[in-house]
Amino acid sequence: MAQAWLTGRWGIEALTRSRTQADVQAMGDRGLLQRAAWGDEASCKELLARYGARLLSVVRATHGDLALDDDIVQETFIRAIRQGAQLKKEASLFPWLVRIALRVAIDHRRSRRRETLTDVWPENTEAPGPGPDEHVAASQDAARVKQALAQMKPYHRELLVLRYFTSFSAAELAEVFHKSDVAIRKDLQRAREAMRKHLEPWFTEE
Amino acid sequence: MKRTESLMNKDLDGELSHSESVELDRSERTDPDLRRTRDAWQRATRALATIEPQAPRFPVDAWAHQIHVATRPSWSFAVALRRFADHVWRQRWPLSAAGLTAVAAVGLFYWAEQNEASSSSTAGLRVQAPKVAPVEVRVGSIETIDTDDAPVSIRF
Repeated sequence: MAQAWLTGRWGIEALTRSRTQADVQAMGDRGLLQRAAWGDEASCKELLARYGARLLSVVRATHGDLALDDDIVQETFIRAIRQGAQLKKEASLFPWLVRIALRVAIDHRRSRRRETLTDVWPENTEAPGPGPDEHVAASQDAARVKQALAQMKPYHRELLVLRYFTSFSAAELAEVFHKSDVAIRKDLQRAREAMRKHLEPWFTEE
Repeated sequence: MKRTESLMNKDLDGELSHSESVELDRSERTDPDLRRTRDAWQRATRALATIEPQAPRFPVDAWAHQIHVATRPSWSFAVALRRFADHVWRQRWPLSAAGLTAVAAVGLFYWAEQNEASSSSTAGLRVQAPKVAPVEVRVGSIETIDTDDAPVSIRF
């Protein structure tokens, strides 16, 4: 009887179902990863609710292929749940997820043998609605920056997006790319110089 | 690297101290090129912050189910034991610890009973070794009869 309770699926599922939704929402990231690895769907859902939208926006900003972005994010969470033991105790989850997502994106790029995204960025078919000039100008600036990013190396694109779109600090970038703070700052400077070449009119206009 | 370039890079890295910020503002007032560059970078970083919606929508339930199906483990005794250990030590450990203690106590009691029963079956008995009469050995001659029919006898 005891053995049946230990090994029977009904026993184990009863243990996981015993957690209420409030318990799952109050759980830490490492606990959620562990429970998701053991087959708890509510933990998968909570992880997605916490980090899915942010990760998807980062992947779209760095990768830009709408057809693949969803796959990249799902594959990222699958790998994260399977490799949950590799997350260091003191590390935070989101930079680790971003690192995995960038690796998944590299794998997708290699499999598709595509180095630039000039023909991948989605066309903005919606005309800017009537509104203050500032909004129109801001959306035009964003489109111009997107074009510049599409023509840059993937690493520089990722650095700039993570720094200014996701607001990662230099320390978090160093954690994502496994580099020192000094090296990351130098790489950021080079990425900015590369972007400046594409946005030169902004720096020279009176 | 010029001092102002260094301060500009620190500003773009978000690591400018208050005094350095004051110094950069002061330099900007006297250097129009510096002001133009700084304005351009502010425009570029503002645009970078808005290139995508920060909270795009996606079907959370459907994705959670797909991820769950892809990652759920196949059942095994090791997985069951691990989850039971988690249940004991993380979730309801006071009750489970009491339960384990009770099981251990019952097991110890049973083992003690078994030991006591086996020791009481031989109590009061003394096993004595049978007395063996000493063997007398007299060494004498050995006589052999060399015939096939007669039995061989040995006299001491």
